[in-house]
Amino acid sequence: MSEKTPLVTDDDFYALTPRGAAEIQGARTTLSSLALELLVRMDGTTSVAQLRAGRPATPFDEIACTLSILLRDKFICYATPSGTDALEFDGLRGIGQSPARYARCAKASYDADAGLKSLERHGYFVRIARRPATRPMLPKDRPPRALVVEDELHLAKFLKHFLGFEGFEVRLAGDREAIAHALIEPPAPDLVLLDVVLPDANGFNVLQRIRRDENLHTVPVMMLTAETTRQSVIKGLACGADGYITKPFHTDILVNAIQTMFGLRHGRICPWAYI
Amino acid sequence: MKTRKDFEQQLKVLKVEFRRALPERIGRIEELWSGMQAAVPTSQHLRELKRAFHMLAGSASTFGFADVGDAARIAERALNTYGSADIKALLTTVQQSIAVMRERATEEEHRELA
Repeated sequence: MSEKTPLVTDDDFYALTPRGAAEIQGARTTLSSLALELLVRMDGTTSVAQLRAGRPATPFDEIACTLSILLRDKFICYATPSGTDALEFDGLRGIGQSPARYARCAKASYDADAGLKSLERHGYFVRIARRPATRPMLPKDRPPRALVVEDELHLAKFLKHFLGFEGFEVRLAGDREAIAHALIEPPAPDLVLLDVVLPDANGFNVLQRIRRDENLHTVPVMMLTAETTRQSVIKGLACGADGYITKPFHTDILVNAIQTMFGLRHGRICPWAYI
Repeated sequence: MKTRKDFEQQLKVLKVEFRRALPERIGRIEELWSGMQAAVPTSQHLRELKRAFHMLAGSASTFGFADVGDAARIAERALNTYGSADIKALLTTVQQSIAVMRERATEEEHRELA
């Protein structure tokens, strides 16, 4: 017997449950792009109408259905916006102020969704990774190749060393010229780790370039960046990243994320690479 | 093929490299910060300083300097509000962050010398 699907309206507010928070912190998600984006946008003070405004091309039914599923599966729960307005809401509820009416008033006072301040606020740390729809596999006849786009020299060396130990052949690129060279010159990478803030390039543009390329568009790309706003995370996922990990990161999270992208469950990424 | 021992050994080398480069990086931040205070800051100034903080915010923790990374992140966020926030508070925040970073780097230098 199926559980009843909760009804979603424009005036609802939702917040992440611990399960929802874990889903965007565990580097092993199986949720759809839309579900992920909604989880990232959700801060307990954003109404469904505002969530919809951020996805103007997505039909209401699709968003409502996704929210219902997230609600049913306990990734999110109903929320009451906090702050002064919420106190007013709590105080007035007893005398007939309906949540719907509150939401309409609150909505009017908020920024347009694209400019929501909560999206721009820094300090939003996530560890998202999902398996691409193309189901990439690690090569069996040679070491997998990783392209690390990172301009911080020490971190780039660290990643090269770490991924090398995990069995990858690693190429580094830290600026526009090196990135262009690494993307054009064979061999093509099997995985890309991509920083956002680069001296003369932007990681999101690089990602878009990869997704437009005939030979590279299916390569799994993980954003690995100190850009810690909801806006950046949403942008990364919307541009086609298969994961988004905010710095600083733990190497075990990176391993989890790479395993998820290649559909591996546990253990080493390339067991044959170890003694 | 590398062994776990090789890996750990190389990791130590990378941490030492980072630690040794840290005073110079903080020195560069101090220089940029002084430059910004001495004259009307240009967007180039601001961008360069933010980038210097941003890079430390993303990397320091990986090499065992979580406090330096946190301080850099706080300073970067403060600079993101430049022009729209209370300038006095911003100056204090950045100044304090630099002081924390400098203190930690000096501590490490003394430790290494000892």
